[in-house]
Amino acid sequence: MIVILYIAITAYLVGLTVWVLYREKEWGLQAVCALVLIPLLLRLFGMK
Amino acid sequence: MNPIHRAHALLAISLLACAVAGAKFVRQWTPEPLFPSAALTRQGMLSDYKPELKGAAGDTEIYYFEGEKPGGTVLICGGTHPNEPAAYVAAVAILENLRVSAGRVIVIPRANKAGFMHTDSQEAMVHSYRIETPHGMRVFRNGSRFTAPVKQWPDPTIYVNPRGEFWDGLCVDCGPNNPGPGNQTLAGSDSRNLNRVYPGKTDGTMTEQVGYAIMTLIRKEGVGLAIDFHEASPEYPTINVMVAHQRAADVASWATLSLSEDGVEIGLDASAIMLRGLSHREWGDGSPAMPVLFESANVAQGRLKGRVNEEQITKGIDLTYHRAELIQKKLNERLANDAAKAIAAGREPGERSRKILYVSIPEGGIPIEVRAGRHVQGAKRLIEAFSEMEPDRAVELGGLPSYKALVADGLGQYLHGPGGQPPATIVED
Repeated sequence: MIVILYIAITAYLVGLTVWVLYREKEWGLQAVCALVLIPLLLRLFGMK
Repeated sequence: MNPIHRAHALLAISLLACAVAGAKFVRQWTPEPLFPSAALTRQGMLSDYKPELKGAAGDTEIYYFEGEKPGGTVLICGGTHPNEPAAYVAAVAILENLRVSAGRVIVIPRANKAGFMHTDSQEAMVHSYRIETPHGMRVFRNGSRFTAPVKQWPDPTIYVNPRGEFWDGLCVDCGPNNPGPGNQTLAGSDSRNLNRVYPGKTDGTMTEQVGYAIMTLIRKEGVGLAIDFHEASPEYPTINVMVAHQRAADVASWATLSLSEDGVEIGLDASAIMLRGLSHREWGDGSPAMPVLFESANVAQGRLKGRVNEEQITKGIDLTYHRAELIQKKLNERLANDAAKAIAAGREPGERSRKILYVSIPEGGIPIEVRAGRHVQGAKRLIEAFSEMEPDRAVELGGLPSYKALVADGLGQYLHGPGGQPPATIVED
């Protein structure tokens, strides 16, 4: 059960980061979003 | 560039990086092939002893070598901690060369199979290492001390190893002074450390179920002598030793003497009764087996190691550790001088020496041949001692290379080729 909750939190963070990536105008902050996405996606897909 | 277009491009780069890194992580999930010797009589799985593990990442291969003559049963475990390479390849070298004429030997080369699926996080460890054989290069995965978190998570804040039925009801060695398992508090990540979860728990986490299944195997198969191969960092006091349960003390003492004749200097530690969850303690308390754990020195595990590379694993070379040894030598010379001066002046001598490393790390390193050779020779001598002291349960072996042969010829000489070609040389000891 708790694993589903953790995956849901990760999915929420991925969604939030993508939303910020598209909403942000400054390229530096967009790049930060892209970097943050990598470990979040790896965790979401269960690869690391 | 338009911010939306830039977001598209950055998202694509993230997904690409994720795919490249992910492919590398996922590649480590595939077990490298092992090639048991022709004397193998049967292969099973750990889930044979606990069906709930069937299909789980922790379900691992078990190899049975049965002699024609009756005798006792010996269990050899490697890969309990997959970041201890010599402990793994020693079990593989035994698996690929062993012949048994009397009794039975059971080999579990990858005891914590789910620990081979990843490396220790934040350590920048190499994912694999290569060993040259006469038929080509063999590649072995370098894993983690812990079960992969993608297969068992989240960790508790504090882990208490389980008590379980192997203590409550089935305990074999539970005197009034023995507190038993279930009281030891450990770091949360130790819930994924196979050598802290014994005697395991039937309805526990995957690692606890693996521990439970190994305990069940030991009891069900009537294992008399149980050997668990390990490695440790040079600054860890329990190094180049056997750690023996009190029931195995005589057999281990005998083996220690035999090993010194072979040129393998090895210490003998008693398994601490208060240190719970470890194989050398719980295997013995929860079954009639004689458990013995082996430790060799692995610089790749230590906190003082320099930049991580494959040579640390295969050649045992780490110049940072070598430097630490030189510093220790100078420090101890100074402390000894100061103490001598203090005595001459009629004062109390202070500290006379200090231990930083518990093993000497030469500039040329401690190669995997030496470390795995200690394990293979140690297992042979233990089994010989067990057979001498328990003649009704004797186990007779053949085919295994000696320590001297392994060191002289290299480990690869005693491994099958990458496609399964047999080892080039079989040296009878």
